[in-house]
Order: sequence, then structure tokens, then C-alpha cells
Amino acid sequence: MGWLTWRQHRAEAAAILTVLVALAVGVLLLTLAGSGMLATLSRGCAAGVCTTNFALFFQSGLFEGWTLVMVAVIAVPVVFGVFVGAPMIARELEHGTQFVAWSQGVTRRRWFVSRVGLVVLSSVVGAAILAAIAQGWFAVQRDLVNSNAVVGGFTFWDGFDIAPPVVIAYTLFALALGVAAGAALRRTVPAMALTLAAYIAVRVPLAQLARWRYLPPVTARLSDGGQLVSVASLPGPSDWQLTSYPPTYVDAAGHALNASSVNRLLEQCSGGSPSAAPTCPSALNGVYTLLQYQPALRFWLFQGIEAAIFLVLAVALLALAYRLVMRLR
Amino acid sequence: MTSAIRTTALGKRYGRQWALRDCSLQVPAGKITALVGPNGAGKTTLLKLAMGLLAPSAGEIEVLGQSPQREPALVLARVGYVAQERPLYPRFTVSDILRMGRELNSRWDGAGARERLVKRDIPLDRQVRRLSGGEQAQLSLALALGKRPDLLLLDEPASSLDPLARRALLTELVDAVAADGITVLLSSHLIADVERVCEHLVILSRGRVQLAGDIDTLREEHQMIVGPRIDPAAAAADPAVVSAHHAERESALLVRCPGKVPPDGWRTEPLSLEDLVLAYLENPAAGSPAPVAAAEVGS
Repeated sequence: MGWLTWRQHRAEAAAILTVLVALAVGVLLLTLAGSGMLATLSRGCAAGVCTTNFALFFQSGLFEGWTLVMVAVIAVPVVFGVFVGAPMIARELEHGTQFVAWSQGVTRRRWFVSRVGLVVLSSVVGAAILAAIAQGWFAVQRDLVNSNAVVGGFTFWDGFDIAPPVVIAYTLFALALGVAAGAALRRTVPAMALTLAAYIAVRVPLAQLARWRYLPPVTARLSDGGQLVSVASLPGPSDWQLTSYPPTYVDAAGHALNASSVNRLLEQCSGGSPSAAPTCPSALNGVYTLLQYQPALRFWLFQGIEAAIFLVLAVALLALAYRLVMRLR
Repeated sequence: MTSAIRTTALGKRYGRQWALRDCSLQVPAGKITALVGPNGAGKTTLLKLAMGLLAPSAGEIEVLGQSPQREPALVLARVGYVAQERPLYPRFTVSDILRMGRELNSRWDGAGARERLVKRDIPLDRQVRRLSGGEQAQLSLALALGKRPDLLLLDEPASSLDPLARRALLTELVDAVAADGITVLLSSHLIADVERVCEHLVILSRGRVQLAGDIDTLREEHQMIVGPRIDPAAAAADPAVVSAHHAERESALLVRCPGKVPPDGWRTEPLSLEDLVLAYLENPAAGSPAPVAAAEVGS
């Protein structure tokens, strides 16, 4: 079965490998360029010309590379699902060629398990290697951006979608989705369309709406009448501040307050550095602020949770595809 | 008689439609058996059930003593199958197809398969999609025979081939059967082909077995007799009469009465296998579990 699987997939394997290698080389080049830039900047900063030097980074195009790499690595799983998973069974059923393999001396179960197994395994390895390379790039970019105090504030969390655990799980899910869609619809193009639509329909809402709720966020009492309550309880630079969950102002009686009016008062506070206590208008007395965040320590836990969700979905879809294939006539 | 395939009240239903119903038959081992019937009679369904590509909705099927559903590995290893459309991966070369045969079959006869193709001048490095229909049929047969099957199932092997390619394919088949003593079950619309190569005949009609037996025996049992016109109702009521044609003064009857001499005033006429098969196909109600011994025909 191994040879047959290879023979049937070698053309697309070559195409995908070419794209993956090109991406990997591109990311590696960006990583090298970024490291060089980082070295230049830190030398400049030591000489006291940080801000002017930093313009170099933004003029170099490295910052634009950020979006490109993120989009590429985020797209890899669904590309596997649409172009490898969906046609795998559907194309055979469309052309009636499934009977070639099914009338040889291998059972349909073995045919399904070895074919899907080999393709899924090699796809996942490819995606994982790309994600690992992207990790190195991400670390350099994060340092670069963070070395500018104005832009700053990039954390691990900004690279959540391209970290290896979830990239592996997304790839498995997308492939399983494609195989199941192909077995269910029995036609290649509709199966590809369904795979794309269903992948986005699961992947995007989960990232946008569910991810920050995997564990209850930590609530920090940020300030009390403009006075910081405790620096220690504030989210650090590596924590994930839930900006989709804006700071909540609460008055002394515990009622939520209108954010924009409080913000106007806050702007009148003098001093603003986290370490020094600012002086604020008296109207802010008794008003305090809640800020919610996910601590940096939870990053890998959240990776595990999200990966597990997609792995469970992938296994369920593969089981469905297996049942469908065994019942095909 | 040992049977390569034995079915008992076998049925297959697609939705509410029965493609095959209450089908009990035996395919004798070591012979070429023809499966004949109109379109939709259940021939393809029966072959797919034997290969385990379909699961029965009712009844039992046993292939080489095993159930294709419960023991797929045992059956698949010993049964060759060529589907009606003879699908092969279009971008594979002939060599690729042979390599696949080697990879997927434990008893693969690579030298034999290669020799068979070379003999037919089929280039091993050509892609399947560039082969003619006849060459594709030869390749499908070579792949099926390369398994060294004990049983070969062929679904319309010669349809859509020109007469020369058809003859080449059937010759190949007969040679292979003679050399290895394998059992063949082939479905066909072409009675001439059946007559040339088959020894046993099964007529399927509307999903049921209408007639089954060795072709020589069936020919002996059936007679075309022509005599004075008789009452059509009486002919229709007689279980020995397979088909009847009534002219103004004569009646022509195809009767199944083994060993009987036609009554006085009746003469026998030559009966081809095609006439025999068509008579059954035209009269789906005809056909019986056993021939009636003494039938009163005519006067």
C-alpha cells in the first residue's frame, strides 16, 4: 500500500513540498535578516541613537514580512485539507477507480488506514517543520518590535496561531475534514469547497470567541481613583491582555461606569508611569478599574487545550470517513 | 459438483428497490460460467456481492467456501475481479499497474502478466489513458490474472470492444483457464461470446435466477417444435413451454422436456443458444426450478 499511496500522491507531494520548502527558506532568510537588524539596533541603542536606528527596521520591509509569514503559516493547514484531504477519496469515487485497489489482495480497511495514515503523517510532519522554523522567526520579530518602546508589547500570544502544537492539530483537522467531505460528497470540487468553508467556520470562531475563555481570565484591580492598587497584580508584558474585553470602570457602589467619561477624567491625571503614583481629579475617587488577562504561564496550556479540541474533531471526522468508505458500494 | 460460489436466498436492496432477490445458485468450480440477463437484472450486483464490494441485504453468499463480508482478506486474495467500466488509474503507466499488482497481492505472477502484455504488443511504459479500449481490457485482465486467482469475476469483459479485440480477450481468457484450471464467472450481453467460451449458463431476470445449468445439458433439454396451431392459452398454461409463437395455422413452441420425442405432426427445428436465451429473456415468467417430466403438448 505504501508504494501505491506514494505513486498516487507523488505529483501533489512534489508541488506541496516545493511550496513548503520555498516558505521555509523565506522564513529562514527573514529570521537571519531580523537577527542582523536586532544586532545593529542594540549596538545603536548602546550608542544612544535608538529611535533613529529603529526607523531602519520599518524601512527594511521586515515588518511587512510579519503579515506574510503569519498568513502563510496560518493558511498551510487548510491548504492541506483542501488540496490533499478533499480529493483523496472523492477523486477515486468520481472516476470509479476505487475498485482497482479494492479488487486487489488488500482489504478496504487496510487500504483506508494505510492511505490516510501515510498522507496525514507526512503532511503533519511538513506542517510541523514549517511551524518550528516560524517559531525562530517569531522570536526575532518579537524582540525587534519590542525593542521599540512605542510599538512594543508583542507577546507569545501574538504567535499563538503559528505555534507547532496548534499547527499540527489544525493540519490534522483540515485533512480529516477533507477526507470526510470527499467520502460524503463523492465529488472533488464540492468536497474542496465544503472543506474550506467548514474549516473557516470552526477555526475562526474558536480563535476569536472561545480561546480567551479556555480558563477564566485573571482579574486585576488596576487602579482605585486613578491610584494604582498594586503593580504586582497588573498584567506583565508577556501576559495576554484581553483587549476584546475593555477595562471596566466600577464606582464605589460597585456599578459599572461609562468608559468614555471616565477615560476623559483619567486623561487629566498627572504623571502616568506605572511606578509613580499619579494625581487625578477628585471625581475619580472611589472609582476603580478592572482589567482581565491570561497570564503568560498559561500559553502552553492553552496551546494544549486548543490542539486537543482540534485533535478530537479530527479523530471524529476520520472515524466518520472510515464508516462512509466501508459502506460505499 | 463442487461450487466456487454458492448463494442462498441472496438479496440486495438499494433503498426500496431489490436489485437481486431470493437468488439461490451455484457456480461450478473449474468452468467458465456465463451470467446472462437484461440490463438491471442484477448481474453486476451479484458479481460485486461475490467480491465483497457490496454487503447482502438478505441471504447468504459463499465464495470459495468463505464469506466475502466476514473474511474479506481470504476472499480478496483468491478472487480476481474486472469491473464493467474497467477503471484503472489513467496516469499510471502499464508498468505502474503491474507494480501495484505486485505490491497488493501475495501470489502475484509478475512474469506471467508481463508476458501476456508483451505478447499483445502493449508498451509497458505507456500511460493507461493512452491505451486503446482493447489494450485497457487486456491490461485489466492481465492484472486480474496476475493475482493467480482461483476464481475470476468479469463484468461485461468484452462489451465496447471491437470484434478483433473481443476475440483476443476471450482467447486469452480461455487459454488462462485451460492452463490454470481456474473458475470464471462472466456477465455478458453477447450470446455469441457466451457460446464460444462458456460451459455453464445462468440467466438472471428481474433479480432472480430464471435458468441455470450446463449449456450442453440445457441444449439437450430444450427443443423448438413446430406443428399445427394450438390454443395460445393452453400453451401459456403448460409449464414445459418456455415461449410460444402462433401463426395462422402453425404454432412454434420452445419446450423444455428432456428426452421427449415430439408428438406426431410436430417437427423439431434447429435451436441456437441465442434463441434459447432470448426465449427466456422475453418471458420473464418462464423458467422453473426443475423441468416438468411429462408435459402434454399440443394435440
